[in-house]
Amino acid sequence: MTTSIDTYRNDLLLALRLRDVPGPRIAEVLAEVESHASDTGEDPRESFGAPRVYAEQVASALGLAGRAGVHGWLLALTGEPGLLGLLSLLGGWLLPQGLFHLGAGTTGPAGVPALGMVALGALLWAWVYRRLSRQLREAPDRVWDPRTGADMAPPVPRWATAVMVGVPAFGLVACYALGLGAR
Amino acid sequence: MDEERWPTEWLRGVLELCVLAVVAEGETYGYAVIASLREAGLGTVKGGTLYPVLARLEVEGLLASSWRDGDSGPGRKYYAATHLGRQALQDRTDSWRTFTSRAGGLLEPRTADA
Repeated sequence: MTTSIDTYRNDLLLALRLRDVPGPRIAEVLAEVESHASDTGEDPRESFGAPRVYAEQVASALGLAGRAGVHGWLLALTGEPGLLGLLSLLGGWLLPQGLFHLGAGTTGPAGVPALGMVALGALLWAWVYRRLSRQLREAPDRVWDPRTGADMAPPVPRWATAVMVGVPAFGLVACYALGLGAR
Repeated sequence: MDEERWPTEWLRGVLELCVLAVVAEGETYGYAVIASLREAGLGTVKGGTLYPVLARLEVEGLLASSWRDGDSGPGRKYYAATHLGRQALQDRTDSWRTFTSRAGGLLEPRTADA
């Protein structure tokens, strides 16, 4: 299986972040991988191994902790995990519930307008998404490409987008399924 | 031509010194170091093994590096040995010679007995 250089680079960036490798060093490592892949034409996974394993080797060579702790995961995801998690859950509940009631032409719990639920849910999700995106892109030590000066951090990982879209979508489908089943 | 395969632990013990020696010969970049090691008969070293070694030598102040534009690719990182690096190479080479000489001395009689 071949791995595109972009996919490998993004996975490696996250793995290095989780091991508290400083941004400038991450940029050097990513640029080295790109340069080496360009010189050899090899699949980066073939030359460097799995991103997680290579990140451990780099961290170890630099005398940093080899494994990502809970702190690293939370730091990589959000600066305020509790608040963002709560708002994310609330938005994920409001949005599909509101859409369900909007489709059914009914009001939500305690007479809350369906459109209001949708708007509030969407607002919460947009805020959490923006916050998460900023957290990943504007860390104190950003990952600037040593060759071009460009930002090497991806906007938001695909899995994060999938979760943020998938959870409300699943909730919406579940609401309709439960609603149909109750009729 | 088939490449001779050395035990991993042997290569691990001497790789840093060999990399330092290759870079001390003249400014060079990662893939060229791999090619030099292969030509010297040490086998093919993977990028995932080499670059952490280069990073460690750089952090120790034994190597200096700079990025330069490539002819067609995304640019290369060139390494050069620092004054400290050349001193370390000399010291470590002397130690390595002593070590291999002693190990060789230990193995000689056993080879003769066989």
